[in-house]
Amino acid sequence: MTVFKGYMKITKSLFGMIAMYLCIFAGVTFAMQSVGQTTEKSAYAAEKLDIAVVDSDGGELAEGLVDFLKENHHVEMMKNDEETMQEALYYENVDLIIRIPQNFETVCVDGEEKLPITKVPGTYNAIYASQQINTFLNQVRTYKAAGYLLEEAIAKAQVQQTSEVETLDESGVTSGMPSYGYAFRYMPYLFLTALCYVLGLILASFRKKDVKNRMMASAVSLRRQNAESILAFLVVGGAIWVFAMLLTLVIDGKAFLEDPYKGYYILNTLALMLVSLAISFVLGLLVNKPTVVNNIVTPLSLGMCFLCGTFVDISFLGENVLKVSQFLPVYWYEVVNQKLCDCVTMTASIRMFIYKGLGIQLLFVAALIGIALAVSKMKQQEV
Amino acid sequence: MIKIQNLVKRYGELVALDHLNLEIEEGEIFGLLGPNGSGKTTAISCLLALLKYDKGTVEVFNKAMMPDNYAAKKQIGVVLQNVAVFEEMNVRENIDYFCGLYVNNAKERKKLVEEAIRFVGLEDYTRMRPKQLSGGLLRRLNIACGIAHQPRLIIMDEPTVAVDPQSRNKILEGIMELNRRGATVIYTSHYMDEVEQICSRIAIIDHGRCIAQGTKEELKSMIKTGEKITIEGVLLKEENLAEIRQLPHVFEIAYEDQQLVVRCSGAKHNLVRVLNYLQEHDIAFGRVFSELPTLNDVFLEITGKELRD
Repeated sequence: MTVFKGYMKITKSLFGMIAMYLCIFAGVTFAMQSVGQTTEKSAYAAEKLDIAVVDSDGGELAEGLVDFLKENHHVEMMKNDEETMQEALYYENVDLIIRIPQNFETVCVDGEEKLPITKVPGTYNAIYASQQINTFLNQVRTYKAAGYLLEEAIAKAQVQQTSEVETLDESGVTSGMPSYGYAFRYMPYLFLTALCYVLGLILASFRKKDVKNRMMASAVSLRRQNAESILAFLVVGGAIWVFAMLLTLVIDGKAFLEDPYKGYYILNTLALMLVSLAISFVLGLLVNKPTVVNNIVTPLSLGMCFLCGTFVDISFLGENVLKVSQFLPVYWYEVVNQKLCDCVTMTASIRMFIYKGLGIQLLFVAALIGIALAVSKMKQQEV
Repeated sequence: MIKIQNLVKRYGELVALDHLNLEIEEGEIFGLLGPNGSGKTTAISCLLALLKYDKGTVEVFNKAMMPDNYAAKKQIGVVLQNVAVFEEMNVRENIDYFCGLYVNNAKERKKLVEEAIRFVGLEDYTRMRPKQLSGGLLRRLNIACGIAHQPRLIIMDEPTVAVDPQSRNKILEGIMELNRRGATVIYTSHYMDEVEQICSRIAIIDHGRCIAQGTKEELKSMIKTGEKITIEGVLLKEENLAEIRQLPHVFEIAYEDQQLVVRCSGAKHNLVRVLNYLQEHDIAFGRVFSELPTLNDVFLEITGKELRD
């Protein structure tokens, strides 16, 4: 296992750099996760309208209605002045104006006449409010018919019935990203930079012409050398993958472990790791100077991360950018990751989409290995 | 031990090796001497099966040398022209790594690594990285990496290029010591003095062809020049030059800027005869040198150009 140990020794000598990339990744992930969580916290709340009330009645029922509306909306009392009312609607200071007529009880409860509502033209908010008012008046009417006094009927109508509601989203998507989703989203940056850098530098060392010739002239067969190199690649890639997964557990391990689709997340990251290993392998074959490795890895990793939705959400990317991104493996990692973050119910079509994304990533791996073999063959002829 | 027959290697139109024939016996220090670009490194690469060749055969330890002949490779140590070590490993780790390509047993390897470190005199530098070493120490590390597993055959491709004289002497002494311990050495160089100093047999290569092969004495005997006499500060007329040219065993003279160079075949008393002539004709002269032929003379006479060209 001399070749394997050689890789490990060189990896050890590059530990400082690996640690730096791991710290950057952890820092970016934590920062983005905390920012994302504060901005994306969401809750369902009833819509509150700005309502103006012109009370020409001033009776018990009118007061009861105003109190009822105040519980659900922002209510202000307004004088019965046409100009004031028109101004308030024109400048949209209020969404609607309710005019309570004289003899409100007689006209609207006993007489079943509709309460006049004036709204901002072209808006639909008034429907919501008028439904609530109708409900209130219907209840008062019903309680009165049942023999209750007006005061009792108003009190009963003001009590709003509430119940717990569980939403069933048939689209299978949620509106927010789980906390650990950020770690998965930024993983391409870690994998691409750390793996391409470290393995690129190691391969560059091994591919120096004279070192390579010395290895070729040695008693260790080429097949064995290749096998030990691949093992070393997998070990280095695996170590960085384990770190990334541990970080995910640190961020919100409980939530991740409870996620029914954690297996898909793991498969996706493994596919990404293979893609990154394959890219670093090709890079190492093409480049044999450490400075050149540096010059290539930075634009390669940053470019791919920006184009494929790692740093910028895919939904913000332009159509033309996406056309290009589709030819990059990280894009397929990110779309699968996005789908998993949004997924509430794993439907057959979502599962198919995920398998397609994973498959495309593996195809990229196969293509990159093909390129690597071709480059390797070409370089062999150069000796 | 090694037999190379009719080896031909072409790079497109360029013929790097042109029907090269070499035979190397066990226990020799065999020198491959030739100017830069003469085909020495190509010959070594073909010998190690690092390079495919167009024609010919290469046998090492009486078996055809193929890329998968690991039994033969196990007995070969390689010291390449450029320093081939890992910058990320220190001296000991480098030697241990390359020794590990031949020796699996960790205990045995440790012993061999320590021996190699002692042999090249790097005891005080074992924890240093290559970039912390001077050029000479780096070359010694390069050698230690190639010989740590104590191979039967050591191939050294210009191991003293860009090395200071002190380190060069140390390296040459080391090569002779390795040979005394039983290793056969193939040593390529374009420094004729080095080859002359350490090699028991020499092949002179030019344009991929072996133009002469033998011991240094045999090579020198192949050429006309037996002695080269140089006389400075001498004023000669045409008639004097014609008469000197007629002296026994003189076959070539050159006269320029009051300096006379006389080339004689390998006979005795050439110098005495030339000096007697000058005294008899009352011709004053300055300093006098008499040199035996060098490998450069051999190369010059065979190819018509200096080895260093």
